[in-house]
Amino acid sequence: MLSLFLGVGVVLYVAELFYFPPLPIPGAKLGLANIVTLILMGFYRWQDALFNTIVRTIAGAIVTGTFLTPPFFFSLTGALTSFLVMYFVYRKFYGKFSFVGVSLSGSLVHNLSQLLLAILFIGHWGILFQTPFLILIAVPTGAFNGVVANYIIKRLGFLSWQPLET
Amino acid sequence: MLTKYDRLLIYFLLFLSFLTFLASAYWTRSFGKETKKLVITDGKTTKEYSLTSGQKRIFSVKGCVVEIERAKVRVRSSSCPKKICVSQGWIRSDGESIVCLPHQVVIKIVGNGKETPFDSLVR
Repeated sequence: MLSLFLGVGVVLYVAELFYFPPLPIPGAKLGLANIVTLILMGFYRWQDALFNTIVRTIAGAIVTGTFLTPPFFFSLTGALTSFLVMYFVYRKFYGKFSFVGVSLSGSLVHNLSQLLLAILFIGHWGILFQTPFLILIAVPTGAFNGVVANYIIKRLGFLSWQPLET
Repeated sequence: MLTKYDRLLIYFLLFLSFLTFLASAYWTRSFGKETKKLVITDGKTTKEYSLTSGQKRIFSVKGCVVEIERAKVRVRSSSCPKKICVSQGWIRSDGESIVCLPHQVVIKIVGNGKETPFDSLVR
């Protein structure tokens, strides 16, 4: 089942890259693959979700041909930091926040950590100009993913999966 | 679907975005006022000129007639044979320079000490 989700994640990652028109802000994208992380967080252990996130990033990079290039590292840091924050929010505040809130905080941290990495990478503070736009774009994308994850988790809830022994 | 706290988070993020936008707009205003200098070396002596004043100035350094106008510089005319310095035209950004070898004149625009090591960056 986990590998199925991994496949879904990679396909979403690649399909989004190819079929969606790029958002008006450089570096911003919908992050559909994050839905998979959210679902896994809801149904499985955190190790499974984290493993899925990392392998999905690497596999997606290999498919799109950006493995071990700067965009790959950007996407990996974004994935890791946003995973940490999303897991924290999910653990501590789920109930108050639905998955929309979890996804929103994740996408916010995803964007901001990539921004920080970009500053380290280029060595110029001027990139901070993008901050307001990145926060702004994090709201609709994060909310959209969260809403989708909410629906999917509600529909799949009757399956009552047990965490799998790997 | 959305809980109360989800909504609050959305409003908070929109507000944060607005706030950072104001901050960055405020931050940008201090840009462009940085001190750009023009350094002219004629083999022996080095002189510095300010580039920020809007005044048009024409003066000659050895055989080169240098013209400064609104933060850009060119060699207007020169008595050297090939006139490479003249044909270089206007220069305006940090690190750009005009060199006139026959007169041993080097005209260089120097920013506030920092020059980015990259010409451009493509991702």
